[in-house]
Amino acid sequence: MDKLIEILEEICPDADYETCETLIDDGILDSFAILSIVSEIQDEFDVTITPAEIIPENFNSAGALWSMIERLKEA
Amino acid sequence: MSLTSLQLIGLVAVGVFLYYTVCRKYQWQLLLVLSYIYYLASGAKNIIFIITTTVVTYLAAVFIEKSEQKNKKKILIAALFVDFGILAVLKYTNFAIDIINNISGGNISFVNLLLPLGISFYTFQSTGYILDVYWKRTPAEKNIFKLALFVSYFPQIMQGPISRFNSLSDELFKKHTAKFEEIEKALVLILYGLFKKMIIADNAAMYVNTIFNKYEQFDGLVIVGVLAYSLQLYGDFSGGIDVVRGISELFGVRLVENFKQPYFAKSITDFWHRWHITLGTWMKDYVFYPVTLSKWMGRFQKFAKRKFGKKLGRSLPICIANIIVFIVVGIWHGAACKYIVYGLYNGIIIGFSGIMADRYRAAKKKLNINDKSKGFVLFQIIRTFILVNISWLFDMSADVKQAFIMFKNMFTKFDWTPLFDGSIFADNPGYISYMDIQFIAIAIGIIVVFIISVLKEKKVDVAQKVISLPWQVRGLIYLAVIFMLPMIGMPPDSVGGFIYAQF
Amino acid sequence: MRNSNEQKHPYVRRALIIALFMACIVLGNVILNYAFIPYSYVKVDYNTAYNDSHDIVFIGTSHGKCGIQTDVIDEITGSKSVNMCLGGEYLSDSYYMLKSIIEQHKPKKVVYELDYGYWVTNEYTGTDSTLIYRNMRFSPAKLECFMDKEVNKDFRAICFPWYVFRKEYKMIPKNIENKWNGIEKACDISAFASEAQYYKVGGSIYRNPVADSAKNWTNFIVWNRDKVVKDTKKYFGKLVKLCKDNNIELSVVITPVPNDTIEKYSTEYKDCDEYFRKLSESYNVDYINYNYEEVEGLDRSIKGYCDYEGHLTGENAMIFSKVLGEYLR
Repeated sequence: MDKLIEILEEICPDADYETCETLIDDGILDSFAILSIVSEIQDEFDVTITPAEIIPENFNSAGALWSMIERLKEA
Repeated sequence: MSLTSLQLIGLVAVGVFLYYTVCRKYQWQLLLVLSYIYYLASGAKNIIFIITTTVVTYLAAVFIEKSEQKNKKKILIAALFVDFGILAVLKYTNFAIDIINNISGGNISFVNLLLPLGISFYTFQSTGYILDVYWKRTPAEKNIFKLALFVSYFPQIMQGPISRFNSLSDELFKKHTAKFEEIEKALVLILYGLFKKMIIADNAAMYVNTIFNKYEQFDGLVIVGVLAYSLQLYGDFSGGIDVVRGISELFGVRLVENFKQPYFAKSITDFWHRWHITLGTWMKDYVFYPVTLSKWMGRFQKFAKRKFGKKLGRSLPICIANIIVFIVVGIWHGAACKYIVYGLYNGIIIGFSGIMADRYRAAKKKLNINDKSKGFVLFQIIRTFILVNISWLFDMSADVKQAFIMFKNMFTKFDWTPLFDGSIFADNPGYISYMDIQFIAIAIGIIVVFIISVLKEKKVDVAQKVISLPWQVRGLIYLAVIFMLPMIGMPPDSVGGFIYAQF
Repeated sequence: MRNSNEQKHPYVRRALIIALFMACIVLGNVILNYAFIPYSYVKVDYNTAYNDSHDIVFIGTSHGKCGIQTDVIDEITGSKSVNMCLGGEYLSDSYYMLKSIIEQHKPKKVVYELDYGYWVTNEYTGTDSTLIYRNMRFSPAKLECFMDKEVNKDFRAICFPWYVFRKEYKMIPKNIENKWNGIEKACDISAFASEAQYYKVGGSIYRNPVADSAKNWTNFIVWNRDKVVKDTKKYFGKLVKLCKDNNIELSVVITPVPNDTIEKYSTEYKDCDEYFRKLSESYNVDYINYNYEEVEGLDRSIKGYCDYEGHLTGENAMIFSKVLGEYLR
């Protein structure tokens, strides 16, 4: 999880990832940022993220992102 | 059947009456019937194409849901091939012939293909739906008639918005009861749309057409022409969409927003989040993400990271995907090279600002610029507006060459006299005596739309505010607008119908 | 506190407000129609055609309006004719116009004066077509015209008929004068007289000569058979059928244009002649093109015309009508 926050802060430093639950809904992360995050997550956690996963529910908070990673790791 | 024809008004009036009375129990079925009446009235021959798309889309979705993983992809590709194939053949055959002729110097004659009404819009909706089913974002619709309504829903078939199945189907298939306030609100929306189309767009169009058609004669008026085109395109397209949404809301069906005050955008990216939003979302979901996350892009990304370092290597593939998206957006707008340039222009600006984002942030910090300050926001808005206007040159010019000539003239030549001595309408003498009134019309239009836009930007529900006014005041406002439409609006014969109705 | 009546009958109140609102729209429209819509000879044309039976009805364009002088025609043919040609009259307008006339009185012969300019341009909602529709007597033909044509138009052209005249706002005092003084009601044709032209009983217009310097080529439409509008062709078929069903003889006539024009666009005029000759043949309709026929005494130089497009001066039109009368006899 710390590693994830580190990635997020590197890509888009303007948000508080510990508390924010509306990263997509409030437009904090744009599509450019989303794809950068996906790219780093794929490298860091060795998972494959498909277009089907790119939905607001998976990206609205650091927590949501983390549970997506966990889920993909198990698969 | 144009959105402003008496025929459509009749169809909607009868439709709304039946919808809330006799056909109360069969509301979506009635909408399907109305949609097909509308489609047939607009050209009976073309109905075969929309029916083909509907059937293919329906079957593909049902089978994708049932099949095993490895077959899913095959069905998906086949269905997309058919849906896009129809669009490509009908819309781009002549473009391809033109290119082949140009390269080979040959002389293949153009084929005479009639473009079915709304083909771009319903094809995009259908393919989006198939992909949603494939990605398990929405279950496949089992009732083919319901799907047929989703594909052909008549208010939006002509110029969008491009809706997603899961949001539109909720609206289409639930039960609706007549509410006076809702109907009045819908009518206010229609009136506002007609205002934008007839008062702003159609008046501005008179100038746009003359200045762009005779750009060599009126070379000192490029700025006026392009600003007028900004007005025209916004008034025309967003006005048309408001009429569409209003008509739909008469049936209680809410459609997604397609515009959010685009000329208040702070960057080109922001502009595409506010202009033709549903096209942008479609492109993002169904082209941008899949292309970036494709296997070959993944491989390229790994390679780029090794070669150019982590940050640039990460951004480069995203930029390339982004440029691909905008080339597609360009081609969607029309089968011509100028639209590809238009797409590239947007794609390159967005890609560049994506790569440079970090540096901008650092620079702003260094220069001590507060990017939330009013001054800086205003600077961003004006800068974006200028960039957008340059892109319109490619959209409206007959070809790329004309766009570049006009771009040059924009900075080198200024001569506004034809505007004031009436010589701009020398071929159309009837309009010269009307020019003063036309100026006033455009001015009133801009002021009204500006005020409403500022309020909307501040999240005020303007339509709600209007219908909450005392009835005397409301009545006067409605009467004023209703009489303004014929008094200072332009007739469609002189300027053409809705621009986006030809897509 | 609210009026208790209001609470009991919100629907009644609402209905009253809507009724008041609609009344305002109607009233506004009545006033604006009165001010904007001019007294025009279209009304007089219809009046003549509806009130009396005629042997020959001329339909067509401004070329026919100026070029065909019914008094000369009547003298030679010994019959009674009416000139229903109009500038801005497309074939679909002519069709419904004729249909509504036939409903009142059946003529023996219909002459369609053909100007190709109306075949290669799209119909538009202009002042002429609006006047043709508005002055048509309420009848099955008018209803058919409404269902076929009017419903496809922009709603403003139907709901606010004054709208197509709004550019002519400077004419408002004149329009009001014509209506207020009963000139329109009496169908007084002296109101149409000006320095340039005057209107004659029977529907023809007599045009006075124009200075050569005022004649130019602006708005000249060149013939191109690829640009023929499908709908116009369709209405030609309908016109033929209408005449056939009513046992009316139909002729197609093309009035002569100046020699300068024929020379400048000789290929186009030849092609145009061939196109319409063949079209008329295929429908078994008489066809005569006076660009290629001998017309004794006709001044084919630009002096005999008001413009290069081919509007005959009154004097020249009298000469032409003599020959046309002989042909129709």
